[in-house]
Amino acid sequence: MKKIIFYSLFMLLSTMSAAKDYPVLTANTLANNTVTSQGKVTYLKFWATWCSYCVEEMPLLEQSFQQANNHYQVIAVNIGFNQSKKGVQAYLDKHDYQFPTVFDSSGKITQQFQVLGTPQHILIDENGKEIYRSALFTDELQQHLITLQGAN
Amino acid sequence: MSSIKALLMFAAVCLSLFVHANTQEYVFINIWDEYVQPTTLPTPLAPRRLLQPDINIDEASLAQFKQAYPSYAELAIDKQNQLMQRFAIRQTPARVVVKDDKVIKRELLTTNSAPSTEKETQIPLQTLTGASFSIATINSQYRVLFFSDSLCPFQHIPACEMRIKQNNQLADSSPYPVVTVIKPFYVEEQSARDYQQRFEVKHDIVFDHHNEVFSQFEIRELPYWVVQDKHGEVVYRGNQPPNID
Repeated sequence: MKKIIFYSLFMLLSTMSAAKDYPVLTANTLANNTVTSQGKVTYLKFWATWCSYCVEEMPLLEQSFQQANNHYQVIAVNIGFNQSKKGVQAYLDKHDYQFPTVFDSSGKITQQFQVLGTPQHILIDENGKEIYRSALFTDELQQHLITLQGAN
Repeated sequence: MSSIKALLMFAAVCLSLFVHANTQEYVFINIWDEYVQPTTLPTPLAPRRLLQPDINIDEASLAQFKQAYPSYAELAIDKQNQLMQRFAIRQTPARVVVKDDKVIKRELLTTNSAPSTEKETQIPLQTLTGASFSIATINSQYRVLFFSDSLCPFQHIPACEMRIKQNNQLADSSPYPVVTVIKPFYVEEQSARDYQQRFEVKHDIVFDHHNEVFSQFEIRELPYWVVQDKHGEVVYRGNQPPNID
């Protein structure tokens, strides 16, 4: 019995320690609006225009933004490495993407979220706790978003 | 006379060491750009450290690059981008010269050639052995499609080595032909051949030159399986090996 309790506790602690907490993100978008992850389920996507995988996924990001249904917010973070604000804005305009985009000119947001590769998808709850994280737009990520879209 | 010469040389070396004693040059390059536009490295102004930003990189990719470009044998990853942050480097290739912890020079470096403006020619789909391959008739040739990336192992393809092994086992035991389709991003066909050899793939491999098979089947994650029935209807898709008994 003790063993069962020990292993149950171990598994619970393992699960708890695996879920990461992130500090609140507050930033200005390219459209000069302030966005914050404080108190909101937030879907962050880190990307760059030179990243082929990121560019390929962009229509999915736009779709996720359009279907958010106020149940989560989307923040696209351009990592700002080998990028210019002007170039990123031109890219967004060209494709008519509407999702809020933050330009990480100093690289601090990218560092804050421990992002070392693009694309990177991070879904966090209203307390900044990681719900899901992946490099590509996986079926599991899509399932999380669909569930949130339908939430009451 | 020779002792005077030796003394002068010794003095020159000492002077050089003194000047460089607290001076360091950091050169930041991005290997993924170097393959396309190699940097023209200027004469060092101080002892040089070659650095690759810790973005979309791993030791295997770095080793592969060094093998192709031996002059970068000393290239190291700037772990967690610590030096990038410290010197506010946001663009590559670039160098900074630091003396007594102060940046005394900062510049962007030039590259050797402009990106190719040649119009991309359409390369027909075929297997690595040269057999023709068509999306329209794929179901008459193959039932099991395994979508993979020749950059494996890499961070955006979790557990890829295990999945490739599982797919090889599947191909060995499957009553239906299996084909591996390789993503074309950042690589050329040779990379698919290296993948074939590295993972001892015995079934057909198609290098998806224009990403058309991936687009057709709307593949978003890797590695990934799609199974079709004989009518071409997709009966399974997912990142776990299918059960095709």
